[in-house]
Order: sequence, then structure tokens, then C-alpha cells
Amino acid sequence: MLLKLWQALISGLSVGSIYALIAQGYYITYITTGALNFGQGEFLMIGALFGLTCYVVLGLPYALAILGAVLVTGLMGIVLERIAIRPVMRHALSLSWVLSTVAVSIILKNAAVDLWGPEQIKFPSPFGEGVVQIGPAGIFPQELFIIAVALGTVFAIQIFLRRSLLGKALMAVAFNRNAAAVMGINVPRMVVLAFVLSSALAGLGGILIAPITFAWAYMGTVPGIKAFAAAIFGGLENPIGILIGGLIIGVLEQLFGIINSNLKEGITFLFILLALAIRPTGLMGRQEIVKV
Amino acid sequence: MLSVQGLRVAYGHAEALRGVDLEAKGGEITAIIGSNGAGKTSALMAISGLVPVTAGEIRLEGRSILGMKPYEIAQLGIAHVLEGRQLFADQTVEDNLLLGAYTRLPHDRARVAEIMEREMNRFPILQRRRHQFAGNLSGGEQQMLAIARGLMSDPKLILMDEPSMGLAPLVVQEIARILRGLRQEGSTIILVEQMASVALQLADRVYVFENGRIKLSGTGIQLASDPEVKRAYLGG
Ligand SMILES: Nc1ncnc2c1ncn2[C@@H]1O[C@H](COP(=O)(O)OP(=O)(O)OP(=O)(O)O)[C@@H](O)[C@H]1O
Ligand SMILES: [Mg+2]
Repeated sequence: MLLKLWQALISGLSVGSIYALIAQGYYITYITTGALNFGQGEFLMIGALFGLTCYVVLGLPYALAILGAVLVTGLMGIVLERIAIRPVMRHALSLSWVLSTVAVSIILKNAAVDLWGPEQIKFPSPFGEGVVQIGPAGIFPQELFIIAVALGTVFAIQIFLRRSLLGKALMAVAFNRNAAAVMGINVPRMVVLAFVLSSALAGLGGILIAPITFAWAYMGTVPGIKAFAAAIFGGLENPIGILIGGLIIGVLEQLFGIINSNLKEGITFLFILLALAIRPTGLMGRQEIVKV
Repeated sequence: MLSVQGLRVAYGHAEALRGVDLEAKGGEITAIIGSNGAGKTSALMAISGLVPVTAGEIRLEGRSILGMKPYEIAQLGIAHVLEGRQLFADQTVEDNLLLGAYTRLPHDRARVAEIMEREMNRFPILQRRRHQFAGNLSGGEQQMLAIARGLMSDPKLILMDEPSMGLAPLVVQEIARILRGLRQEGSTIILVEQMASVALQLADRVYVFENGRIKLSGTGIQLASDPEVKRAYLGG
């Protein structure tokens, strides 16, 4: 039993850190534009399948396949912003982005079925099929790699946003567009940057997770929704809350999986509903910064 | 320096400015006064590109800036200290100042460091609060920061929207002293001010807005003795 718990914890942290990665993308576009890309899951899927093509078909090293997946999904973020966000964000209270990003996600799913077929494709693990012994349990090295890369990226993004000039400019746009604009910051370009970052984070998640799941056209939907749950649960404007939210959801679903693998997703979402009923603003609530 | 002709601005069907002409000369303080809703803020926002212009012309040093994006106008050297301070409350004092110099970064870091020291000397309180979040400053300190942030780009022209808003009389005097200092340094300022007495003291030239039009204009001294201005804006 203890062994199972330990395994569930590590697996939970690894899928959870993927949710955190995708959810960080929701956070970045939400603070800058008030919109989320409901196609994040499909960007994850493209990251996985494009990465698969690089890694298996082209025979590139895994590191280059990761880079390729990140670049392609990042570039797709530019297109997403141009066709699904900019045209519908002219009115401040417009909710059309919900429809337009879902539309993009459906187009991507269709295109992926057409390009890669509808089957689940095995993504050979870059670290071999063996397990490493950690404590009492055997753990896939890929799971540890996911945790390290995903969490490292989440921290790197925060450092970028808080320490670099470009990141500070992005945060300025997020906080007060007019003030940012009169500082000489090109606001529309910062919005594009937010969608590039967000899409690339999902793409990275895809190529990280593919070796422990499978790669296929429909792989993105559920992680996209769970990452959304992590973002809401953690507090959409709170990057630390989102990170913790993602990890908690990942660990919970693995723990519930020990009890009953058919019900694990159901119980996880039931738990989220309960948590939200108790704390409607999410785990950490909103960071209270008084806008002046 | 800046000339505005026949400027019209509308929000939907509501016209905020209905044909405004004004001129800001280099090295002078040009003040705009007028009651709430007269269109003062709209005029400044039109100049810095934040609201679209429906008709008219705006020229900086003879060159039309109409239709340019706000960031392009900022790059030309127009700084805008917005009404209500509009700081980046979740960033530090230092980062707010750094963002004020965005048009000079990253290529001109040495100059920006110099300007930052200059502004910290002008506003010693900012030196002491350097690493605090802007949102945690007092109202007066926030206004100082908003002005300093506007000066960080070493602008040709500074638009300042109601720097005295909501501040205690002593702080208002301090800000007036700083504006006087800026004028002595040769800065060009367009100052929007509800406190007409402050504006009339400081300004070389004053425009009185009413309902989106210019009702009166003249030198500060002329208008300070105008009976109508006295009655409507100076409380006697
Ligand atoms: N975003 C907006 N949408 C619609 N109407 C607006 C908007 N901003 C200003 N107005 C209207 O335009 C007119 C001029 O407003 P403006 O803010 O320029 O006046 P102001 O002289 O700066 O006033 P105050 O002294 O209160 O700051 C007002 O009638 C105002 O209600
Ligand atoms: Mg105003």
C-alpha cells in the first residue's frame, strides 16, 4: 500500500506539473487580455505530435524535438492571437473569445486527425523503458524529467516576468494598458507575446507528457480542462496558487486512481466542486493588490 | 512645440471636444482649466494617442502625429502623466521608473541610470521607497512617482493631468514647486488642473475649457484678473 502511495505521489506530481505548466499559460493571457485560450489542450497535442514527428520520423535528439515543439506551438500562438483573439477583443466585455478559441481547438483536432491519423501512437521514452529505484518504488525517469523541466519552466517564467525588462513591460500591460502605452510599450505586441508564451508552454507540456501517455489527436482535451481547473482552483491571477493547484489535482487523481481507476476523474472533479463551494475564489483567492 | 487645430473627440455619439485650438510653446507651461467633464483629459488623451480623433490636426514641432499609436507618440518624446496616477501598483518604485524610460531601453542603460539618479534627487522620498511596491505609497508619494516616471524618458513635452487631485494643500504646494523647477530647467509642460489658482500662478498661457470648447485664453496674469474667471474658477 505504502509503495502504491509513493508511486501515486510521484506520478501525480509529474502529471500535476504538466497541468501547472498549461495553467501558467492561462494565467499569462488572462492577466494581459482577460481571455483564456480554451484550445490550450490542443496546443499540448500539437506539441506532442509535432515532437513525435521530429523525434521518431526525423530522428532528431529529444532535446531538439522539444525545441521544435516549443517553437511550432509558439508560432501558432501568433496565429491564434491574430485570428481568434484580436478580432473579437475590440469590445471590452466581449466573451466571443470563448467561442473563437474553442473553434480553433476543433480545427486543430481535425487537422491532427488528418495529419497523424486518429490512433494512439506510442512515443518511445527517451530515457529507455527501465525504471529507477527511488525509495521503495520504481519510477520512470521520464516522470522525474517532467517534474524538473515543468517546474523549472514555471519558475523561469516567473523570473522572466518579474526581473527582465520585457517581462516587466508585459506585467505593466497586464496591470494598466493605458499607462503602459504612454510609456512607449507596444501593447498589441505584448499581447502577442503573451499568447506565444502561453501556447509554447502547452506545447512543451505535450512533448513532455507524450512518452508516459500516448500521442494522438484527442489527447489534449482532458489535460486542457484539468489545467483550467487548476487555474481556477489556484486563483487565475495567482501564479503560485496555480502551481499548487495543478500539483494537488495531479496527486489527487493518482491517489483516487488507487481506490478506483474508473472513478478517479469523477472524484477529482467532485473534490474541485467541493473546494470551490467552500472557497469560491479558489485556493489562494485573489492576490489583493489595490489598483490605484 | 505642439499645436492643436480644430480638435474633435467623440465617445460614441457624445462629443467630448468640439473643435479646440491650442498651442504649447517650448519652455513654457501651458495650463488647461475648466470644470468637470469639460474635455481636459480627452484633449491630453488625444495628443498621446489614447483616444481616436474625429477631426482636426495635432502637430509636434510642425510634424503631424495624428493617427500614430501611443507607443510611437511616446517614442517621439511626449510623456503623459495620466489622471489618477495610474502606477503599476504591483511593481516597485524602481521598476515603475525603469518603465518610464522604456523608450530608451535597453540600448541607453547608462543614460537611464543617470536620469534615475536625477529624479531620485528631485524626489528624495522615492529614493527611500525605491524597493517598495508602488501600490503601498501614500497618495502624495504616488503622485511624485507618477511625475518622476513621466520624466524618466527625458521628454520634449510633458502632459500632466491633475497632479494635485486628492492631495493635501502642503503636497500641492510641493508639486507646484517642482513644476516651477521643471520650467526653470526648460521643460515644456501642458498642465491640466482643477485648482485654477495653482494653474494661473504657474502657467505662461492658460486655456479655459467649457463643454468641449475653449471659452477663454490668455496669459496667467491676464486670466487671474478676469472677473469671469475669478467668479467661476477662483471662488470670488
Ligand atoms: N471613456 C469614455 N466614454 C464615454 N464618455 C467619456 C469617456 N471619457 C470621457 N467621457 C465624457 O467626455 C466628456 C469629457 O470628459 P473628460 O474626462 O475629458 O473631462 P475632464 O475635463 O477631464 O473632466 P474632469 O475634470 O472630471 O477630469 C465628459 O462628458 C465625459 O463624461
Ligand atoms: Mg480629467
